[in-house]
Amino acid sequence: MKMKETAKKIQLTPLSTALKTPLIAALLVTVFVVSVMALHLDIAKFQSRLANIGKTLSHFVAFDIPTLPKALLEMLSSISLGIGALAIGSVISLALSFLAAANTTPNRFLAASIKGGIALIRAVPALVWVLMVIASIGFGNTSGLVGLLFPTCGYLIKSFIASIEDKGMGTIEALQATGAGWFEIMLFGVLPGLLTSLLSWTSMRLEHNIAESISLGMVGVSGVGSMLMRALGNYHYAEITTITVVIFVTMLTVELAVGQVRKKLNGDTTK
Amino acid sequence: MTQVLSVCDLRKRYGKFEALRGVDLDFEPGKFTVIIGPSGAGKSTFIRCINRMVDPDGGEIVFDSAHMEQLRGAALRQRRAMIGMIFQHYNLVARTNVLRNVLHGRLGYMPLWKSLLGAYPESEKRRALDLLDEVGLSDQMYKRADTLSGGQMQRVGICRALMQAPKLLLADEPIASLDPKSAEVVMEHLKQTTKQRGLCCIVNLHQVEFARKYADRIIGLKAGRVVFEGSPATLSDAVARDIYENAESRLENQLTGADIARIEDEERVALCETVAA
Amino acid sequence: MRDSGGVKLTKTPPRVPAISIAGTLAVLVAAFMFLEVDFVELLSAFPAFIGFFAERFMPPDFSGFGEYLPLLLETVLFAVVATYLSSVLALVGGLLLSERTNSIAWLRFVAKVAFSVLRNVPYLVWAVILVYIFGIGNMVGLLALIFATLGLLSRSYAESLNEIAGSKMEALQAVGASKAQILVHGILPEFVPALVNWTLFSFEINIRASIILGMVGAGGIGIMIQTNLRLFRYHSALALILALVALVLLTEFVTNKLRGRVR
Repeated sequence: MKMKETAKKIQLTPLSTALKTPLIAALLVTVFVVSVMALHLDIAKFQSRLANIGKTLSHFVAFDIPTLPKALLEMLSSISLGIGALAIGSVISLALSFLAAANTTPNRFLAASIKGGIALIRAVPALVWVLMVIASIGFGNTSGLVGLLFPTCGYLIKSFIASIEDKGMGTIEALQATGAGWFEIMLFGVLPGLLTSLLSWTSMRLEHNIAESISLGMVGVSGVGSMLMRALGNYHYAEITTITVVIFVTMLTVELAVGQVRKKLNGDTTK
Repeated sequence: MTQVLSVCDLRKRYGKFEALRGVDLDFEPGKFTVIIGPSGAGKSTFIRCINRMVDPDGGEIVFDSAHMEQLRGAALRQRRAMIGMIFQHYNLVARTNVLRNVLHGRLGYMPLWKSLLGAYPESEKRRALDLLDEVGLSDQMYKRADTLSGGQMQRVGICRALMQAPKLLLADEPIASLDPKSAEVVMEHLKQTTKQRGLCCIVNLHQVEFARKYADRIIGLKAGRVVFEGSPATLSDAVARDIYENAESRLENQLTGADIARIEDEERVALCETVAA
Repeated sequence: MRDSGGVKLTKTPPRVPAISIAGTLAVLVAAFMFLEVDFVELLSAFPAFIGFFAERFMPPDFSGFGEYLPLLLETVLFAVVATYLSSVLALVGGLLLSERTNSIAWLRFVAKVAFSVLRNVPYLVWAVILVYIFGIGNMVGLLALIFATLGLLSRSYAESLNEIAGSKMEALQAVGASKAQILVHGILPEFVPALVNWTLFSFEINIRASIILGMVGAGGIGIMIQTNLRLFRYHSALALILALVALVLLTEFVTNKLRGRVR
């Protein structure tokens, strides 16, 4: 019974676990190798291009100040699109998430169908939504807005529902006992305590929305994305760099700003 | 009389808060010393200064004829390897098994490549098992540390410290997170080990009863100074009460800006995880 | 998140200064004015889209769907390979970014800037630039996918590394272990669940990105969606989109199962 009396070597891990690690490792490597082989990567072409990458990249080391105002204006347009879709989307999401959260829904069937619909909407990439909308009602900012609404609502409703369900039944039951109506309970009972977390989700979504809205430009909606595509088409290296820098600086600013806003919001709740 | 450890005029401050204001103490082998005092009295800071988990601002710490306060890098690690430490929250590597956790006690004595391969000498593995056997955990050696109960974890923590073959054993509130029964088991084992191996053991406690029951020598710390030193018999109720009096105001100062920032950080992380899920 | 089990009828909502509300409203009005969107048009656009969708997209046409299967498989393979490569690179990145594993402040800063550039430029932008530099081809697609997740993944890894309780590592420090030993024996074992979690998350992102990247010539199924839409073959396009929905949902199902297995 006593292990120390046997002369056997002491294993650091029992054999069953000791075998598991190399097995998992072997499996992971196999999956990788098989995937790479199945892809038939055009490594040769890539290498030949890589050989003179220094020269190509040197073209990009340029900054075109005259494009800057135009780029900023187009960026503003992309930002506006992201904000606009977020504003409309958050109102829609607010209503739908209260109808869908398990603890606040007036009807279980309604809740299930909203949740199912959201799962489907979320599974379709934002860009595909926009392409479908463009196909239906033509190019333009309106298409961009409507197209962006889908992923915005998908994200917000899912997050909002999580926050609402986190609150549990307590408040609701208490107010139901007073004879308050559904709308009153939601507005005065549930919403106030949730405000910070909902705002927090919304501000987080802003980052995604602006990134998506920049990308939308590249498939036909106006904005800084389409400007970038034009610059690429014209082989205007300095302009490409300038636009990319504008995009980066904007996204970084948004990231930092959202971080600050969320810090403030969280600070409010911990006090 | 040979001293294992000799501390002279030890000082430490955190910002405006003076945690230690000149502590002079000597420690002999084979003795079980308990330091008592309210939260914020400087117990934890004192014990952590000894193996330099906390850097003191002034004073001397002579351990095994080396000036701990002057050591750096490899020399410091070498000395740390000779000092066992036991923590309130056990601080085991949760996803690693019991045996490996105990063997972590040898890391300070072996080169990286050997430890990387898990190439612990057979004799040390045997010793780890013997130590586990002593605390009745040898049948749990392949269990993940996070599946153990608190009392079991602390016993593994003791095994890890003893695995270092230390001359000095430091224990920072080793029973503060344990139920009374597990606490007795842990204290009993610590005391026994100290006697058997002729170690010098320094334990921080906030329970005076436990100190009276187990200690050879009790030290009372209050507001960063030694206010009592003597055998359990000489610690009267009045003195004990005095040590713990007016402690609250100091405790409040302890929650610093850094603590608040950390709490905020944790919330942000929790939010990120929800998004990822 | 935080403890919110209790009934909080008395909890007052945080005071939002009037200036914040006014500011937000002003930004919204400015945004809509700048876009020159007609509200009547906007209100009619949604029903118009639904109407068009019901009429022209429905029902999906799965005939000739077999042709797309190789492309669909390619899309998945791209995501798989990209996730491998970007997780290996991000591991290096995470170790560089975390103050727990990298104590050289300037190196941390350089890494932070580099990964911030990667992360804050949308991946579609990276993709078109990469296509521009390297020409159309699947290596570019792979590279673009790596760009799409590397920044996010590195930061996430670094944050998880930072989160690992310092107190646990204190014990290894106390036994005299070196920094490398603490990393190998203490930090990495504790990091495994977060590593798996974030890597699976990046796989989900890569699947979606891999679908999209085809649209800018970087390989995968995306190109076929666009082609079908351009040729007004809406029923086939819808079939393809539904297949992608199934793929995304299946991916999420599988990754969630895998997550459940690592604790």
